[in-house]
Amino acid sequence: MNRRRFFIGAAAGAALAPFASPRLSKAAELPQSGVEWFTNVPVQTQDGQTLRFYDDVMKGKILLINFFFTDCDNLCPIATDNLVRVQELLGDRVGQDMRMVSISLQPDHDTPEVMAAYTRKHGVGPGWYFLTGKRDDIELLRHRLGFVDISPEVDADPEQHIGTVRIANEPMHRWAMSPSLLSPQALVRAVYRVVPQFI
Amino acid sequence: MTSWQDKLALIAQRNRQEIVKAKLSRREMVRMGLLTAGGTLVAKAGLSSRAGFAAGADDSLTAPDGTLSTVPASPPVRPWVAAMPRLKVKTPVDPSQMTAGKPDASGKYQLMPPDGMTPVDGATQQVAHQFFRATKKPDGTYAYNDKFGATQFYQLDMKETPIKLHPDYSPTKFFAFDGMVPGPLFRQKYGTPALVRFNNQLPSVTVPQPFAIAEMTTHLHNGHTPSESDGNPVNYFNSCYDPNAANPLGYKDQHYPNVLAGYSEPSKYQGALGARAEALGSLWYHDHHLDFTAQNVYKGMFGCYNLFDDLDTGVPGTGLKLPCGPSIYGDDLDCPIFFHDPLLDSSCQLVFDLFNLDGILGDRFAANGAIQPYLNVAKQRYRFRIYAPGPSRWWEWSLWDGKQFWPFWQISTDGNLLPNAVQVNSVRIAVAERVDIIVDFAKIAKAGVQRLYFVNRAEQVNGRGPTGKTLTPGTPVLQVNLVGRDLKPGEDPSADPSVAPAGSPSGVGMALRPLPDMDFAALQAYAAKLPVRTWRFERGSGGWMVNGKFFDENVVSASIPQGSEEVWVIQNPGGSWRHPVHIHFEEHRILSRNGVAVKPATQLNGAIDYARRDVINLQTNEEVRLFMRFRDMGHTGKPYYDRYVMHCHNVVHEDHAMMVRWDIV
Repeated sequence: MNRRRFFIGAAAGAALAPFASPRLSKAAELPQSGVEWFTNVPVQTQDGQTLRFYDDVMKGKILLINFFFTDCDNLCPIATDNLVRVQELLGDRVGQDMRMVSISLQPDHDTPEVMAAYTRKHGVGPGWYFLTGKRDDIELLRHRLGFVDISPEVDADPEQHIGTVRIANEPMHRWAMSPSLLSPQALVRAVYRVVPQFI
Repeated sequence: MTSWQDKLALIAQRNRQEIVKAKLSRREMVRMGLLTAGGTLVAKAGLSSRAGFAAGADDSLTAPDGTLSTVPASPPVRPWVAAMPRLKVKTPVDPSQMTAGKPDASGKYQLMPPDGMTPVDGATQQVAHQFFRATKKPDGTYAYNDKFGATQFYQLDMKETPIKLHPDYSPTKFFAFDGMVPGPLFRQKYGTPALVRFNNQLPSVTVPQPFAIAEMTTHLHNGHTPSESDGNPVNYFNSCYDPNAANPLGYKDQHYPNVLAGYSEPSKYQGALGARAEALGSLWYHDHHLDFTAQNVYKGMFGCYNLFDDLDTGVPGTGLKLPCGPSIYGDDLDCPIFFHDPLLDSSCQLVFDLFNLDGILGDRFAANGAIQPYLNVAKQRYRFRIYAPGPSRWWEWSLWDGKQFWPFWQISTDGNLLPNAVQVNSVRIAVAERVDIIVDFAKIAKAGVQRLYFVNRAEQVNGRGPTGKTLTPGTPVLQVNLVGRDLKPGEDPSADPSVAPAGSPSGVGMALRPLPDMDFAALQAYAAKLPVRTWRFERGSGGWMVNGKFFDENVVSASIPQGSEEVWVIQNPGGSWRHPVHIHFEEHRILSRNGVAVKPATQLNGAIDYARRDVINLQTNEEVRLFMRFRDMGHTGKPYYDRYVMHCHNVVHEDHAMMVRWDIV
């Protein structure tokens, strides 16, 4: 055997044996962007406005998305207060190219009116949508945004889904996650990590 | 096809992972083209881990509540048609010829010799290297002064590169060191420090990518490295196409001292056993960007770095006489292999599930960037350095000839040589762990075997870790063909690992590298008096936490005096996930698992816990006690010189946000 032959594979038939070639399966896509993934399910804001989730809420924005519910008395109020400070630090950009989004995990209870009272109580500024909708639609959004746990018991506990904020640069398809109780300064840094062109 | 072949095919299919469990409504299924208006599923194959195999089993796609699991599947390939790429050895350059920035109109890069500075903190400021100085001479060139010896200089360019993972595939876009996945192989010697120029020539961050971010911070995994060159998660730097005031040319120089831990206190650590007990072997480099490590590593940002000394020499027939150098056919007997598992869409582009925080798994198994390749070997001894770059895949490797498993010799844990070679039938490798093995193909060939397979026997059904079940025979990933003539007596200069020192128990082979603390009982007794720090790795608030907190780069979770010794207790209270925990800067010794002291003796076919590690393969519901030292560096009072991290090396967990910062003060 010479050196050149050493580096050549066995003949195709022999090379395949003894393992059978895998059965063919059709490639599928994972369209984790745009309306295909995030959907245009109708959602209502704290102002009673009905929006399409992807086109009206997400599209083209730098986003902070979290889940909450008004009846939650442990983590939600602290997280919301923390995010209010983040909103103050981000300033005027919230409502322009940046948008904050909080989606209710108890959509039946959290009507626009209930959420409006909640936002007034916490001093939420403009450019921050609190969203409610049909339970199935909200569940779909929760799954699509990855606020899920593989344990059914843990997944069924809404308090397990409010500790984190998804941070996204939607047009750049850049996603990260931060704890909702991270210091406001650190959260703002995390936002700027998905929009580095603006540093 | 015989029954075991059927079984293999079945296992290969079963191992295809469901990476997204998204609930789809009927309306959505119709819209996505998965369901016809009449309610029949359109695409049977490719949607379920079982669909491609159990063709026609429509019911396997639909859960009782009518929802559907979407399971993307990579395009099919024929196995064993392409050769496994061997890693290209990186060669040094003249520092005066090093370049940076983006190319000019004629494609030339501007000369930019190292100036002793390096960007930190997201490339917002430049700081001087601690142990590498550059002085500008009147003629504009630089004089260099390296605390650790005569520097070797390297330049590594990060580029977006199309790479074919398989001859049947169209090229896949990777982010790649020097345009290669894995990146090139550094072969460095202790006593010769390296200064590596990382040029970020990736597309601007303003160019949309399906995932990953074109800023990089490269960590030399297991390196005893000054913090500013350690690839700290906050030290990512910009592409040359995104110039900023602090780093207009988009590059970062990192200084690798290639120095033994404990060098600053030779009287204490370099006694009877000698400093070489601290030497490392199989290291690797990979991206470590805060929040983006998993995406960037999966995108291709990993490569190989090996260290040599007077025992593990890299020169045939010297030192321990480990297999190295050319075989009789010219291929290298020292062969690193990176096993990784991509998932590809129909146009052969990488798919990364951004909304799965548990860990992501692919369904194609690649060795050195080739899916199910073959490797031709001469009938002599080879050293394989087995790497597991992740992001979330565990492996258990055995050699299978179609009928039986062949034993081989394990010579390292995490790339650090064991005191003795150990004969094993399989090695388990968590994400980021490394194992070096010696396979004696001469002996196997004598038994009439001409072909073997590296089979992965670890069953894993989600990104949280393996089930713990060992499959037989497992999924074949690499075909090894034993070709050519038999060796003549005396033709192989490497030592036979089965030749053990007199009095060794069965299964123990050649002596390798002594451990720094050889008397394990004395180490246990000594450690019992040390201060203890406890770190609990746990699930919480929809993410991954350490001691109930998510990572905050400005919070110092432990301030450790330089030179101190501590016991670290690493806990996993979880029953359904595992964490391969990695501590930067120094390797450790495991003292106990769940209160059971690690045995100093060699264990056969089990986890080898008594030697030096830098990854703790933390199992479910487990507490591991470690002996740690923090020597030589840090202690400057400046955060960018003192900070290091510990994190889960299931890098999806790290990104969400299972990491702590600790400083040497």
